[in-house]
Amino acid sequence: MPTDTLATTFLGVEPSEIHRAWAVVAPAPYDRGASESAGARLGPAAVLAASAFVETYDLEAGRDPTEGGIATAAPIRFSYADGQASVAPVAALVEAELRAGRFPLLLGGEATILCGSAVALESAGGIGVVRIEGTLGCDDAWRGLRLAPRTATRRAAERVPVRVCGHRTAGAAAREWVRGRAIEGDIADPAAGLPGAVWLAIDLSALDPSVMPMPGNIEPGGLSYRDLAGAVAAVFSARRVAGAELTGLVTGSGDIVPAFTAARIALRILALAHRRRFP
Amino acid sequence: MRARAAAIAAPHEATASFVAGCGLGPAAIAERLDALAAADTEPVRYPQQTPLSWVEAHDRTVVDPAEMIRLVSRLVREFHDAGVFPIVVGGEHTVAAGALEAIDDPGSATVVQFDAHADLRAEYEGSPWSHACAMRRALDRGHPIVQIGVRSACIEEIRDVYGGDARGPAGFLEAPSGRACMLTRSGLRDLGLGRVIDRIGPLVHVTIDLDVLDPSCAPGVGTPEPDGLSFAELIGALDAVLAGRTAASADVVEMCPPRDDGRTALVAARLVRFLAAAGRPPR
Repeated sequence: MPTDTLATTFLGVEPSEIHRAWAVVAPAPYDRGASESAGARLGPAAVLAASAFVETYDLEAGRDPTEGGIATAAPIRFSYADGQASVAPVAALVEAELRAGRFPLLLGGEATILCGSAVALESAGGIGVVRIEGTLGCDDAWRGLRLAPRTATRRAAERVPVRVCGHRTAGAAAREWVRGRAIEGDIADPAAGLPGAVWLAIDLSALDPSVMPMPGNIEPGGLSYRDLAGAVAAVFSARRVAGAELTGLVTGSGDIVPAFTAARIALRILALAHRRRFP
Repeated sequence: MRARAAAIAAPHEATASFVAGCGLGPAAIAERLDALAAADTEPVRYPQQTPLSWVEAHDRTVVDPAEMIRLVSRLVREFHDAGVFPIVVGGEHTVAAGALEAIDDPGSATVVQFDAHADLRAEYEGSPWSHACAMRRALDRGHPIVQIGVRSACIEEIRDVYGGDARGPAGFLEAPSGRACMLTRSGLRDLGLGRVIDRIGPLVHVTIDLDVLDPSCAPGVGTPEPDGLSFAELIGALDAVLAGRTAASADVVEMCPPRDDGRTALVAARLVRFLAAAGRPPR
């Protein structure tokens, strides 16, 4: 637990050479398509800063994922001139990490980055997506954008099998689009119906505002931390998790709780992945 | 009416990890205690009417841990002699050592810790008196310790105290020496307090780091951790721990006013008043 408040590595650990690491944490500070409150581009830095004060041993998983080496990549650079440009750099990073056999964990940024991940997953083949989100994300476009958090589930589902669960809001067009499609999943078994390998895409808006009190996350009825932890554990029990992304941290309220909570969720994902990787 | 319990303000701050400001904690809690007294409104489910006096170990933040431990220890001894139950109000968790120093036979007094963090490091950032070492110092002094609600630790401290193969999500750890055990947050939920209650001796010191609570009810701490205890859950656990036992002392620590919106100060004040009513000092 180092105390460098300007930490640029996840958990504040000494930087690992990427070729020696089993996992890579990649900041993806993109927020062009945010619906309610922009600011998710500052999320990765906030998670990294908080993570330096999170103990690295996960008591429930029984693992310290820093054993074996975690590398923190340089933040992905996005062009804000072209919304489509969010896809290629994310896809390139995910594709490269999957090919190298490392476990990638993207830190968003908004959930739109799933559109880029899905391109890489389609290319890899045989990998479905478990999306845990506050909103269904199945609009075809949102305020003129085809790539936005409100469209991310649909864009991913156009490429790979997807199950979304934990959502508590959806527009009429999105509800209409999912009718008859196997898209909506069950939080108790989020990976049901998906291939043997999955990509775990968690947006923090799935959590109740009492757990994740941040600008824009005001819809009541969200998941508790235990609900989310249980869903994550269920996914790791049922499938090989190829990689993950954690999106939707919006800073700006001055409250440090959301960043710490996000860092703990990221640690849990890596600890469970470590347990699968090193039985 | 003569006070049966005394709160000792211990505004110590030297090693806070992420957010500074817990040296201001006692003043914020004192203000809330005053407001509670003026409001004359009490929880209906547990007593709060016990007369409580308030004394200050120092009137400003003390950086030197040895100095603060000495000041607290002296006051705790005075209250012991007077038959008054002392509750140390921090400040960093380090101040708990002041109360423990006043217990002459450490082996006879179990330290019952409610905390999100294990606090078992031998040293942290070069200091053996860091808040991250509070329970290690209690162990070193010879106290048995029972840790409840922990959900964050580093692997070195777990291996140091609980042995080489600490892996496993069972929710309960026990040191080979038998002098330390930990009921993690998930262990408390899944196994229940009964797993550790018989390991607590007849004389206790209760130490409460406010980050054991869920950030939704106590956000004003330096290093918040999700999935904490609810206030009702903590009160219930304290009730079970204190029932039929004598309490040498207690502490409520790590209140961080710069990160509080008022909720944490109220929770801390209620805890102090609950402890004042529930704690039975040695005769």
